[in-house]
Amino acid sequence: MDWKLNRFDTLVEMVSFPAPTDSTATTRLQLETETPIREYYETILEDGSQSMPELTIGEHVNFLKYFLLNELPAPYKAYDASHPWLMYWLTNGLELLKVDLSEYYKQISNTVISYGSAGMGGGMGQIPHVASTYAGLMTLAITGENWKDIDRRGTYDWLMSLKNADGSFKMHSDGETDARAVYCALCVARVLDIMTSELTENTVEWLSRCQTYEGGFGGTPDDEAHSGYTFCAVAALCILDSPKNLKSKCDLDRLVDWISARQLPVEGGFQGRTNKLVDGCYSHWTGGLVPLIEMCQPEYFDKIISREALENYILCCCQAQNGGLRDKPGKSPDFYHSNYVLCGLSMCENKYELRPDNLFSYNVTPLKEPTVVAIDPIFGVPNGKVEKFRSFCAAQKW
Amino acid sequence: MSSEMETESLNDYNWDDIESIPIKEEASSALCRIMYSEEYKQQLGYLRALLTKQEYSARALLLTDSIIDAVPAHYTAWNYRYNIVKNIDRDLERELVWCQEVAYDKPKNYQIWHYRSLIIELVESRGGSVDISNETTISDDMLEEDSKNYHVWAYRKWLVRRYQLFRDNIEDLTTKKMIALDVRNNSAWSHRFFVMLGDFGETRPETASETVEQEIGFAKIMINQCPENPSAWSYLQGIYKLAKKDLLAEKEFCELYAVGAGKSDQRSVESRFSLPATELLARIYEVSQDNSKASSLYSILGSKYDPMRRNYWEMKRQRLDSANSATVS
Repeated sequence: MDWKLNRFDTLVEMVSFPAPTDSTATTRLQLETETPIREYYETILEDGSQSMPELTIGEHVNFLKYFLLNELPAPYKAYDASHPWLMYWLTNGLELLKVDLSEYYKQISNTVISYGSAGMGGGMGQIPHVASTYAGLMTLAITGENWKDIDRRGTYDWLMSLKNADGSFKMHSDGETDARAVYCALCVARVLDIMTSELTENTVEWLSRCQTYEGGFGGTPDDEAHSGYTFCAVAALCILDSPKNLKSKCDLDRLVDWISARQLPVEGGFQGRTNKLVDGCYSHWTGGLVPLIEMCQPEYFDKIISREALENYILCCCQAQNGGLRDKPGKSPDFYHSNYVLCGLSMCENKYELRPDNLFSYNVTPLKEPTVVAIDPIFGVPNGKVEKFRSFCAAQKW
Repeated sequence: MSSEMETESLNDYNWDDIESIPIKEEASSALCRIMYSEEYKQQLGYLRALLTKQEYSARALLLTDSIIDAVPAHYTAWNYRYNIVKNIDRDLERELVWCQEVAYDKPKNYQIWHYRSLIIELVESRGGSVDISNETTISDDMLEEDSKNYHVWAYRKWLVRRYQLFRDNIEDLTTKKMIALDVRNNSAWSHRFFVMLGDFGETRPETASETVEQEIGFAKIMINQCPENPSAWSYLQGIYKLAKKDLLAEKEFCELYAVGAGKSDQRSVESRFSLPATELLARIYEVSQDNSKASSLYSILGSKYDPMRRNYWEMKRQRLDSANSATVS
């Protein structure tokens, strides 16, 4: 209950933060978002700390499970190049909510493997894509099935064919190059235990060049700092070398200042770029950077952001009444937001520390009675899953 | 709907020789199946058949247009289209016009910008050239719709890099205009930083220092307009860091806008509370060893002005104290 009281006290401070007074287009949009949230928080405060919203687990489980097990309506055609993502968001979201999906693991895995075995495409008959492959393999890490069906040598050769001389990776043949592609490629290489010095040559240097004058990272060198790319770049650096060495690869102080400044004082949630609006998905893309920094510099623990304020945003603003999680009030819930808002909530509930004996596993200490499963802060699936898959691969020839 | 589609339809071509490869998942127990329309299902079946045959033809080109129209994120169709364009004698100028129409039709589509850059590279690899001002106009139009569109700005940076448009007049005026329209448009600031300083270190030292002074001045004028705006403060700090200049020079400027310092003591919180000014001033005090002033700013930020992040400000204050005692001992 202390936790609830803390959140209540934090909410009192949030609603009393002064509104911006300038009349730019940015501020007009900001006020359109911020003002109704402030008013909603005020009504919660009037009702007292006992009325602080909690996670409506049953509704979210129903929402995600319905879509996992039923054919998707026609408008989902827009996701036709993202089938492995649909599988990952739904499966991971349900796992985070502690749902036992084991009876569906075989079916989930067979679906995923139909997208390819040496690089997966966005659906059947599509060319292999690095982000699709990340999503597919993370789903298999969760289910624990079909691991032997992955062609590791084929995946390695394919990844090498996408490698640029400057150390970055293309998403697919003739595809775009960005920090997302690098992160996904390295996750794939780590989980399949096919990381070679040839594969990672110059990659640290390229990632370091993506850090901007603001402190965050852009999609490619000189692009605007953006949380999605910052998460990908920093997590990728944590795959290439232990998080404790992060400070030798970027300007850590500027990065920490930038992450901290992304938490919006009234809403409590995060924006993805300077002077942009709050969005629940940044609970993961910005919030997910927090455990990485905390592992790197333990003295930063619980200093960079307010976990209570983020929880207030997640629980008060991101839960749709009939289940599913969303960007902000007024938006419809979707699978993407459901997964990443839950990932952010998991970060709020746990403390991560590096283990001296194993670079790729962490000590996780819950900060309170957890409502969701502890996430692996680098790979974005329940903690421990990736290491199991990797150990399996490490024992095979390739 | 693109111009090609207005004049041509898939029915204009004969498909009798194509044995469609349907997505077989319906028969299986696959999850996350989508209820496709019959039309789209047929197009996908043709796509898979043509891809298998590696057919590069006019009808294949038209098929990619239909699929991209239905699913803009269909990267396989984009990739196939690129290979078709490379392999048939497609007029690349027409291809760029097609691209432009798709962009105007679906502004949120991000595949288009990478594709456009591939076509431009193709034009130039064949000895042709493109009109850069046309590229600028298209991205201007897109930014008018959505002034912070990340992919359009990234494309614009690609143009600056490829055609060495550093300190180019049009880029200078465009970013100035967009910052004047909305001084908080961080994308415009980010682009300006790249345009003005992206080749810093490669230019003559006089050009570099002239640009640095000019941009410091610009940032400060914009800060005067809206002291709360973090974009302009980051820009100012970014220049100092890049040029390895001492931030101490901006101490008095920061004091104008920072809370709890110098002349701004009388300022009411509600009117002109500039958090970035206060944060920068504290850092300046810190580097100039004025630790007691830095400490009191961090304290007041945590206790009064930004309580949500009190742990963060408190950490900064404590680090200062420990650095202090380390120096003493």
